[in-house]
Amino acid sequence: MRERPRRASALVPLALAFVLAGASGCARGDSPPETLVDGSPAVEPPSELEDVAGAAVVTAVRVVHANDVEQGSLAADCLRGPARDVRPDRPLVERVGVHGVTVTLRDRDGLHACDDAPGPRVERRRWCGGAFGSLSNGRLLDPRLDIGGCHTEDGEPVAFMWVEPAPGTAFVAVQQPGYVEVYPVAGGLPVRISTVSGLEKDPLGATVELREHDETGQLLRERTVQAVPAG
Amino acid sequence: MRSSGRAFLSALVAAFSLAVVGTAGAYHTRFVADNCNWGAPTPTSYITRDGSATVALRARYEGYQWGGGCWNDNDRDDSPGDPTEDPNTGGEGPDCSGFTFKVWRESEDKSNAGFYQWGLFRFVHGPYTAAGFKAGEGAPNVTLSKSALIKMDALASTKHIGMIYAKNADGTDQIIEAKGEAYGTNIWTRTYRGDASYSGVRRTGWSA
Repeated sequence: MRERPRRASALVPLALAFVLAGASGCARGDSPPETLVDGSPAVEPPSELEDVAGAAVVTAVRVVHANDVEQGSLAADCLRGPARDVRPDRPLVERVGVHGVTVTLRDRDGLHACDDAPGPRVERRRWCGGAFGSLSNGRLLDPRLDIGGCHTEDGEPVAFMWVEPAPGTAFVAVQQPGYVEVYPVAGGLPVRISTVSGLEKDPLGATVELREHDETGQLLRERTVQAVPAG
Repeated sequence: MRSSGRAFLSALVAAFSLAVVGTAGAYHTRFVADNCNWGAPTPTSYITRDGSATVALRARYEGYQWGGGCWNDNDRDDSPGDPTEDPNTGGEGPDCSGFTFKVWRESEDKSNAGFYQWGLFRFVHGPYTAAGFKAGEGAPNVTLSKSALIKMDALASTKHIGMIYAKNADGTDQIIEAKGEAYGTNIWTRTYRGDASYSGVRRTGWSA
C-alpha cells in the first residue's frame, strides 16, 4: 500500500491530472448523506472519533462464515459470480457504504473483492467491478484500485481500494466532501473502501485521506493513501 | 596539515560517493519524469493483429514497471532493479496489464470500445488489471475459450496476462508479455493455455 505525504506524488502529473468533481457529496451541497447506498439510514459512529470534526456516518458491515452464506446475500452473489473459483479460508466481509457495496474474500492465493455501485455499467453485470490482491507475509503490496467500471446513479465514477489498518484500529475514517465515512474494521481483513472524491482521470488514480481510530475513538494514525491501477 | 588533508580527502570521497549514489538513485527513478508525456491519444478507426504485434515488439527487451506505461525502443531496461510492485519508482516499461491495454489500443474509459493509439512515450496504464481482463471487464474485452485464441488474443489469470505472439506445435505458445522487474518485457514460450488458472481474453473489433 502506498503511503504518501500530503504533497503530490512525483508520479502523478498534477498539471495534467483532472480531479473529478466530488460527485454526490458536492451534488448535495457537501452535506452528510442521510442514507447508505442501499437506502438504509446512515448513522453516526458509536463513539466520538478524535480529530474528526463535523458530520460522520458509519458504513454497514457484516462478517459471514463461508459455510453460512445466505441465498441472495451479497456474499452469495459474489461467490456465485466473479468469485466462483474462490474457496475462502476465512469469513467473508460484506460492506455497504455511502456510494459502494463490496465483498472481500480471502483464499490461499490472496484477497478477492466484488465491487458494486448503483449507476450505469458496462453490460448488465451483477457486479460492476472487482479486484485481486496478492499477499506477501499476510500483507497487500498494493491497494488494488478498482476504477472506471462503477458509477453513482448520477454517473460519477466510484473507486474502490483496500486499506490495511494499523494494529488496534477499530475504525477507518475516510474524509469525503462535507463528511467523514467511517468503516468498522472487521473479519481480520483489510478494509475495502469506496470513494467518489480524490479521483484522477488521466493517469487514473485515487487519493484518500484516512484516519485510524481505536474502539474508544482515539486517533492512532493519520495518512494519505494513493492508489493507481496496476498489475 | 596532514590531518586537514585527510579530512579534505575524506570529504571529497564522501562527496563523490554521494554524487554516485545520487546519480544511481536518479537513474532508477527518473525515466518517467525525463522521458514520458501525457499527450492525448490518437483515435484510430481500425486495428489489425499484425499491427498490434508490431507495436508490442517495440517493447521487446525493454523494462518492466508495476503500474507503468512508458518505454523507449533501445532494447534495454533503462531502470533495472526497481523495487517490485511499487508504482512510484518511475521506471521504464509497462506491467502486464498496462502492456496489454496499450497494445490493444484501448480507452481509459471502460465503456468505450474504440481504438486509441498511445505513443511509445505516453505514460498510460489504463484501468484494467490482469484480474479485470480475465473477467472480461470493459466494453472492448470478452472472454472466450482458450481453444479459440489466435494471435494477439490473451491468456489471463488473476495475477498476470500475456498476449499470444505465436502458437507452438507442441501446444505451448510464444507469449509476448511484461513478465516482471527481473525479466522485463519479451517473448517467452509459456504453458498458460494448459493452466487452469488462465482464461482466454479477446479484444474485440479487429479489422484483420
